[in-house]
Amino acid sequence: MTGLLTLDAVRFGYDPERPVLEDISFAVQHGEVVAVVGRNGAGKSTMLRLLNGLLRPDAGRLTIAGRDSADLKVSEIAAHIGTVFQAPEQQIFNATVRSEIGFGPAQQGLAPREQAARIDEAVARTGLEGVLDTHPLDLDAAMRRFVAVASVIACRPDLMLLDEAQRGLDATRRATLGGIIADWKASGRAIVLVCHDMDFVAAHADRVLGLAAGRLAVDAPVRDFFADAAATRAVSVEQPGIVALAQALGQPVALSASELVTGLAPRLKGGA
Amino acid sequence: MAVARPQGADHALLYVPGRSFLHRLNPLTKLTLVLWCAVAAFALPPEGTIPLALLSILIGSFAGAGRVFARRLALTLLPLSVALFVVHGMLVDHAGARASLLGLDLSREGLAYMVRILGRIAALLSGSLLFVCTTHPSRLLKALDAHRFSPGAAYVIASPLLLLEPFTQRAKAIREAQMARGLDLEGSFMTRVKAFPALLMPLVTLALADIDHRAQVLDGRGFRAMPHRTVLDAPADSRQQRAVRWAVLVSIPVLIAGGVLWHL
Repeated sequence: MTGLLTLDAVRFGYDPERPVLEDISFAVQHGEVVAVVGRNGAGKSTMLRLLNGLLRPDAGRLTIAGRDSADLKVSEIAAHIGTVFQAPEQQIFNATVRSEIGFGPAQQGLAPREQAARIDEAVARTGLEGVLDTHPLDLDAAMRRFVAVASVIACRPDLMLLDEAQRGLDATRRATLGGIIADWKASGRAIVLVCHDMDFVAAHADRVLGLAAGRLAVDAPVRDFFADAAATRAVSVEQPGIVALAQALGQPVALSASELVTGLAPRLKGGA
Repeated sequence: MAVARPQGADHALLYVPGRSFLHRLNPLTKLTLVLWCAVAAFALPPEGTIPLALLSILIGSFAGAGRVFARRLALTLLPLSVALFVVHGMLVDHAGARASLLGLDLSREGLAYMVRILGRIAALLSGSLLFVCTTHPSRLLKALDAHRFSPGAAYVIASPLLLLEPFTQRAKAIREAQMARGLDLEGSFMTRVKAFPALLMPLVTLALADIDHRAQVLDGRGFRAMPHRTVLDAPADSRQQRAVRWAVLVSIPVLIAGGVLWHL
C-alpha cells in the first residue's frame, strides 16, 4: 500500500496491554479528503495524534511521504502534516493574527519575503484580511479557528488534519471552511477530517474511515458508506438528512440538495 | 525518539493513592501539622529544622508515598543545594575561616549559612509534599466544608490542588499543539529556550481568561448562595484528632514567641 500517508497494521495503546487502536491499515492519497468517523471513545483523536507524530505506534508501520515516521521528529512531520486542533486558543500565542499565521513559515526557516507571501495566501483563503493586526484572542471563537487554519495553510503541508473544525461554525463560515477544503483538494493536497457531523462529511469527504472499538470497521467511498445502513450502524453514526430524504423518496444516495433535485427532475417533469 | 504518552488523572495530581495512617488522617489535621511545620521552619533554631525535615522524610517513607515523595523532594532540593553551595560556599565573600574541599576554596561561614537555609526549605518542603502526596484535593475540600468553612474560603485553600490537574493537562495540550506545527522541542538547549514563549504564553493567557470564566460558572451554580455546604461523605474525624489539632494550633503562638526570644 502506498500513498502520501500509509498505515500498515498499526497498533497503539496508552497502556500497551489495552490497545486503543489495533490493526489499522489504510493509505491517504494526494487530492483526497478522508473523514474519520465513529462514536465517542472509538479512537479518532488518538488516530489523529498518531498521524501527526505526537504518538508513535506500538506495532506496525506509519509512513509519511515514503519515510517511516519512526525516523522523523514531530517538527519534521509538521512540514508534511499540519493539524488544526479542536481548541485553537491552545496554540495561539502571538500578539497579532499576522504574526500568528507567520509562526509556522518562520519555523521552517523561510526568507521574510516568502513568509509574507505565505501569510498573504493563507489570509486570502480564509478571509482574515480585515483582522491581520488584531490580537487573535480578541476574535470570536470561529475566527480563531480560521486563524488556526490559516496558520496551517501558511506552512503548505501535504496533508491537513482537521479535528472537528466545522463545530460551532455558522452557515456562512461552514461554507468558507468547505471552500478551503475544496481548494486544498484541488491543489493536489489531502485532508483528513475527524468529524461527528455527517452532513459535513457528506458534503466534503471522498472517503470514510469508520472506527469501532479501536478497529477500522469501514473504509469506503462516502456514497457507498451512506448507502449501506449496516456500515453506518457499525460505526454508530446517523445518515445525513439529505441521504435519508433521498432514500425516503426512493432515490439513490444524494450527497447534496442539488444532487437530489437532479435525481428527482425526471419524476417532477413527468408529473409522477 | 521518545514521545510522552498521555498519563492518567492520578499521575497529573500530586496525590499518591494509598491507605496508610497518613492517608487516613483527616485532611484538616494534616493541614494543621503543615502549618505548624511552616512556622517551625522559621521559629526553630537552624539546628532544629534538619531533624524536622528528616522526620517528615521518615514519616513519608512509612506512608506508602515513600518513593514518589523522596523523588520529588530530591528533584527540588538537589538543584537548590547545588545553587546554594555555589553561591554561599564559593561566590559570596563571607568573612571568617576558609575550608578546602576537592581543591575548592570555600567559606566555612557561607557553608554554615547554606545548611541553615537548606534546612528551613527542606522542612517546609517535606511537610508540604507529604501533605499533597497523601491528601486528595476533593477530600480536603470535603473536610473544609464539613468543618463549616465558607465555600469561598474552602475554594481558596483547595483550589491550587484542584486546578493542578487541568493546568497540567492544558500544558500538555499546548505542548502538543505547538509541536504539531513545527516547534522543535527535541533539539538543543537553546532551541528549547527559544521555544519557551510559545509554550508559556498560551498557558498564562488561558489561565487568566479562565479565572473570569470559572468565577462566572461558580456564581452561575450558586456557589456562595448558602453560607455553608452540606457534605454527605465527610472524611472521618475523631476526638483524638480534634485534640491534636487544637494542641498544634495552641503551640503555634508559643513557637513563634520562643523563636522571637531565641533570635533576641
